Amino acid sequence: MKNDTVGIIPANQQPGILKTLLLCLPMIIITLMMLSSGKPPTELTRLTAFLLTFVFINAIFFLMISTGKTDRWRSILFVTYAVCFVVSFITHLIEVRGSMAVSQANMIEGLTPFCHIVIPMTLIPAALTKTIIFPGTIFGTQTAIASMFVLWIGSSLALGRGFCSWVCFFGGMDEGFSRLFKKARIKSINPKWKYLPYAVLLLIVLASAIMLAPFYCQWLCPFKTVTEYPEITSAKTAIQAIIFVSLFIALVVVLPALTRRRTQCSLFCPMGAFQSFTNKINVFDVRVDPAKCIKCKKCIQTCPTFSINEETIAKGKTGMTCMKCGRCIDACQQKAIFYHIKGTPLTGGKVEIYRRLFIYPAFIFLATMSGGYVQDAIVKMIRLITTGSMF
Amino acid sequence: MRKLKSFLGYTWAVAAIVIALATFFGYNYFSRALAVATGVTVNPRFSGGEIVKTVDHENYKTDIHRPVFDALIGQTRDGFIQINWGPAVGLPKVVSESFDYNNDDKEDFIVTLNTATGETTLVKSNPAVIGINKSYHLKNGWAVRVLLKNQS
Repeated sequence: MKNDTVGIIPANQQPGILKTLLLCLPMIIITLMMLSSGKPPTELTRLTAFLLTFVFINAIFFLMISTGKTDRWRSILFVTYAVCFVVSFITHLIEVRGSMAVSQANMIEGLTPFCHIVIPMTLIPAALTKTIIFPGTIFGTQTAIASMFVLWIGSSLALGRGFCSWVCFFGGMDEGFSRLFKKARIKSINPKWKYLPYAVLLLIVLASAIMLAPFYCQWLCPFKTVTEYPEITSAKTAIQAIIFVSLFIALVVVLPALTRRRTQCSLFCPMGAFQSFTNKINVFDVRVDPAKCIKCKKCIQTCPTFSINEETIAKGKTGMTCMKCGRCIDACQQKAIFYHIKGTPLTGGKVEIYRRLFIYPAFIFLATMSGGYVQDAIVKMIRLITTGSMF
Repeated sequence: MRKLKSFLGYTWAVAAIVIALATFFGYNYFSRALAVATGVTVNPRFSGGEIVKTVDHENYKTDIHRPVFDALIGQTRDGFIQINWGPAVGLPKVVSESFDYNNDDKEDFIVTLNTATGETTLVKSNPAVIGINKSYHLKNGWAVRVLLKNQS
């Protein structure tokens, strides 16, 4: 218990308050600029939301640096981000369109926000027809197709599959539900299920190319339940809606709660499977020192994505699907698991430097992506409390 | 070699911070550059395709898109042609217009649209015209998609 509260940095090596503040200073400046877009808001509600968000995000980063724990604090911001994204997104849709439903007229006008999960489905048609098979706009808005591609390319280069634990606005939903209970109700899951996302990826890429339409968005996306769904005008759209809600309840709510794992992300999401390949070209990885490992299997039990097992431990690393959330690192009492920079020595006491070099870019992505949604959700909540309406 | 590998590793790790900052600070620049460099557009099945003719009716305009038969490779057997009317404020209660979509100087179909209800009727003169999909109430006008058989 004592070890758990101290974190992975031994007590005598924990940075002092001054060093911690100095390490946090770059993040304070970056988040100040990112959250305010260079000019703090003047309206009282927006200013309050800005200040609350700024303090909250920087408190999380401060705790990451001072305690040496990564996942414990990341998770709080990541889940908050997902909740605020849903609040902000849905209220925005209702404000603009009057409903969460997207009509065919909206699609013709290119008013559908583009999300990163569509990316793998667009690549073959884009290569062969120079067109994107999505009813959105190419650029000009935050959710335009080119903007989302830029975000994806940048975060993949910087973090690899760390994208799924630091950038994705959906991931925090099943992460939140996976933390509902202290103990897993379902402990054993056949590891073969890990291959399902690759099958889903193959299916949706081929089906989308043949149909010239984003198959996953039309038929399989659980997150339509909490974002936008096609207007129900026929039996077909009604069936689609039933599929979306069923998948959401099963994969994002029930299974994560029962297994304490991110089941949607690790057992179904085609974008996650696609993103695993970017781990191969990314500089950061998570390594295991088999000499220090006492085979307590805590890391195997806690990994939310089935990315670590006895086989990978023997090889001294995590699997290709690792999302770099840091939960196994936080859980390891022996400090046998650590963030690592490819090409650098595995020994030599530089573990905390590796960790900091990873969490700076990762946290810039998380803070910037979450900041806007957290601020907007706070504004809406203040309005709801003071005026009785979010709009 | 070990030192070089280590140096490259640290360089890339620091570059990741630069990439993260550039992604957000250069968001607009990079997305525009990406769109221009790749030249990609939204697939015509969604956008309706390029507008090939605009008819000016003084108070409103009719935009006629190109027939869309686009497939992944080659063309599909069935497609559509999209016609837009706008702006909404200038539209009469009933719009009725004839179209020659294949430019053979013969009328192919007539579309009648009630701009209050969105009700449409189609009079076909060309056997390649299959029917009308439905009318779409846009932000600033109306659109219809007339379904076509590919004759090429």
